[in-house]
Amino acid sequence: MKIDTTRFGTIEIDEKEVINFPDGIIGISVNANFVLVPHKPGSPLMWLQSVTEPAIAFIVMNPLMFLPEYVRDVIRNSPWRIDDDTCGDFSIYGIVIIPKEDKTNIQINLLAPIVINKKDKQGAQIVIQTGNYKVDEPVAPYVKRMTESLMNKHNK
Amino acid sequence: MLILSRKKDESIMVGDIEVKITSVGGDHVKIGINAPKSVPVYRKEIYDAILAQNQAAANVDVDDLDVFSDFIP
Repeated sequence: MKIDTTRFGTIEIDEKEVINFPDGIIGISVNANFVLVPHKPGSPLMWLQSVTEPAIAFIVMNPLMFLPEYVRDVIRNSPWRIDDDTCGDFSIYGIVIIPKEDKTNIQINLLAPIVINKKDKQGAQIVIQTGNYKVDEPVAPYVKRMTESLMNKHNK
Repeated sequence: MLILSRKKDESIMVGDIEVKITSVGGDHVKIGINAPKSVPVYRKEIYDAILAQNQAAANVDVDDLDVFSDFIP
């Protein structure tokens, strides 16, 4: 099927890849359908594009790449039953924010991540009530820590 | 707004959701909520913060991504 988007023009998507958010996304839409579009080959960034609203799209990334322990908090706060066996059926994304006033201070919303059940293509924005996560967690310190730990491993 | 008066350990029902006053002290009230897991419950200020951040995030331009393309591909 073809969908209209303001950022990428008309794009062709596989109907089977449409993700339904029955409770919508807070402040954006009530019952909503989105699709994940890769930003660029090799990029960890994805676009979560609305199927029905051309102007609505989020940049999202998987926070587990720099914060693997975050998966525990997501499991604890998920409306779905997720355990170690079914964990692979779910994708976790944080909405990325690029503040207009300082575009280099890229932030990620770790308080309210997007969880997608890959099997039945259902999604939800959940709220992590455990831990002290924020809606505007700066990404730079995490990336720095990840790079340093990779360098240390490499040097050993 | 509907306003109901309740004492400690008394409840009100909102549909099938129980809202119970568990303790009162000064200007501090503790509220217990019994709701199905499918009903999200959060403090209003958290809800407002998520709403504001979602609306800001939905307005991102493709060009904004160029700023950190060397930092995140």
